[in-house]
Amino acid sequence: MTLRITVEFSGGAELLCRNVKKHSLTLPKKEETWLIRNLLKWLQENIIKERPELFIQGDTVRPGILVLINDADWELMGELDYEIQENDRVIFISTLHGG
Amino acid sequence: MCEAITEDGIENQPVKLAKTVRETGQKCVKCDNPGILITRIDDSFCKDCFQIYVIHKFRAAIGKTKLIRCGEQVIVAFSGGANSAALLHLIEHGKSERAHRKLRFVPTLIHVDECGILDITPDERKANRCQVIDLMKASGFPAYLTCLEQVLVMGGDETSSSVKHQPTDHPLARDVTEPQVWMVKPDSDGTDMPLPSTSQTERLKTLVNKIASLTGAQDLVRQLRNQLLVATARNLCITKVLTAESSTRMAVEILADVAQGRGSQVSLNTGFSDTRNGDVMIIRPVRDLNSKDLAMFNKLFNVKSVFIPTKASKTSLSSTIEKLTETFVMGLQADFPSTVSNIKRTSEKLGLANTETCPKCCLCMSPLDTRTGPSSALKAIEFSQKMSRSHPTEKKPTGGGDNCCRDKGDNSFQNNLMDCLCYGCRLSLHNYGDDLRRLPTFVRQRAVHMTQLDDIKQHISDFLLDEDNR
Repeated sequence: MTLRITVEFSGGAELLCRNVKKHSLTLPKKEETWLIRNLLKWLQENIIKERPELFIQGDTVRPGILVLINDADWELMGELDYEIQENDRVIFISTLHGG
Repeated sequence: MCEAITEDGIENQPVKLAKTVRETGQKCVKCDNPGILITRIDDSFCKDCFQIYVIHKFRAAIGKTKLIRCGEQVIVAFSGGANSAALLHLIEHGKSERAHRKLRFVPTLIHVDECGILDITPDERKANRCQVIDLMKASGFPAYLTCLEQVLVMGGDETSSSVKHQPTDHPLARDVTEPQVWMVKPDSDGTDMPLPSTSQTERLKTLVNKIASLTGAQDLVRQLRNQLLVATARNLCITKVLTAESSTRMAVEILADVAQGRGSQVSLNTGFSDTRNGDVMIIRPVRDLNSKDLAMFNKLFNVKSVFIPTKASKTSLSSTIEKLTETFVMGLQADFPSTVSNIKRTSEKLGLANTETCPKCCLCMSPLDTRTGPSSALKAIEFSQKMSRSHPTEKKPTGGGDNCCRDKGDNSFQNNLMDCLCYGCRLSLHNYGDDLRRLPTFVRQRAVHMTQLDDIKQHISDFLLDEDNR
């Protein structure tokens, strides 16, 4: 089953994806469940157009970029291992100076 | 890292965050509602308790220092970014009926349009302006707009009155005006405020781009912006300027300042209040909150902000000292959540001697740290630079005799100007070379004034009692 979610970038993170803040995405079908870990990799390959090193570091986001899942801190949701559900809203906010 | 060994021989090491993932569905530490974010080191908060926490931190910082008097006018430097938007919201909340105890000061907003240094079209610049203006209008406070180009035309300050009183044909007294501000009218959409002329924008661009390193360019912009804010405040007869640096930003600035030769100014650059400009004080009321607190606050309470890129946006992680430091601090903070507060608290212990009477740097107005004795580290650096650089300083002019004389005069002015700058500003401007004359008028005015004072001092030095022998 495909998964429909919304991903938003703000605080300068949107610069890396052609200045588009809000993305309505349909994640392709997959054997296992979609985790944030997989989503980050998928975003890096499909959405981030420039300088992925300013967004991803190792297998997680660069320190200083906040991740919110349905308006709650991802640190309370299991971080990389959160299972993405249909219609979830994932927000990336860069708190870094100059994005 | 600093390590202290306690009496029982157990090392006191910084708390490293366990890398295991936190259990989901934690409750708020204050009430029993489900928590929605983690702040401080490991505390989860619900939305309501988080709001109370942020407001309390802000109010406590203002209240504790008692610097702002009841009914006093203050300027809020509003860049439109996340931090200043949060500050504005906190002030709005504090002035509203909902506040437990109302804030007593009277805010005026000022936005400094810095887009002139970016490579964007006038239309894009206008669009950025409109967004910021909309936010300022929404607050209902009186708001003004100015642009960084104004530093080119503004004069020194009250200290350079001697230059002002010179005949108007004096090269520095010409073209000097007060920095212009445009009032944001309630019905304005930003289009009625003229963009600075292309030639002015070009001059500003040349001024900044002349600096080879991005670090230096960013530093110059920061100094110019601060000076413009202070001059604008002075014109509006307001003596307090609130800026919205978060604790994370402070920690980065502390380390970056040291790396950029501004170590002697750390306590001014990052303290709660900055008194270097004499009559106008800069106050940093949200420096007890970190960037995550402010960003989450904006998100949870729908505080709108505008993202305006800087020259360092989308550049590599090591493009400037500041960015490199930021990457370092944030990386450390991810594993050791007390990094930022440790750096900040350490800097709070630094102080400055009485700086009211000592000479000030002509660009950044911090106490001049370059007037050192003949056997100082600075002189040693200068000496080895002179020796190691095959810099063509004795470049002979190709023109006739007139040129030769003029160049000599310029060179001495050049040296004088360098003498009037602090070490940090010298580093930023070091590759300006012969072009120091391009610096904004206010810097040159201050330098001329300072040189005049020095001359007078030297003339009368025989009649003065030696400070040390008094």
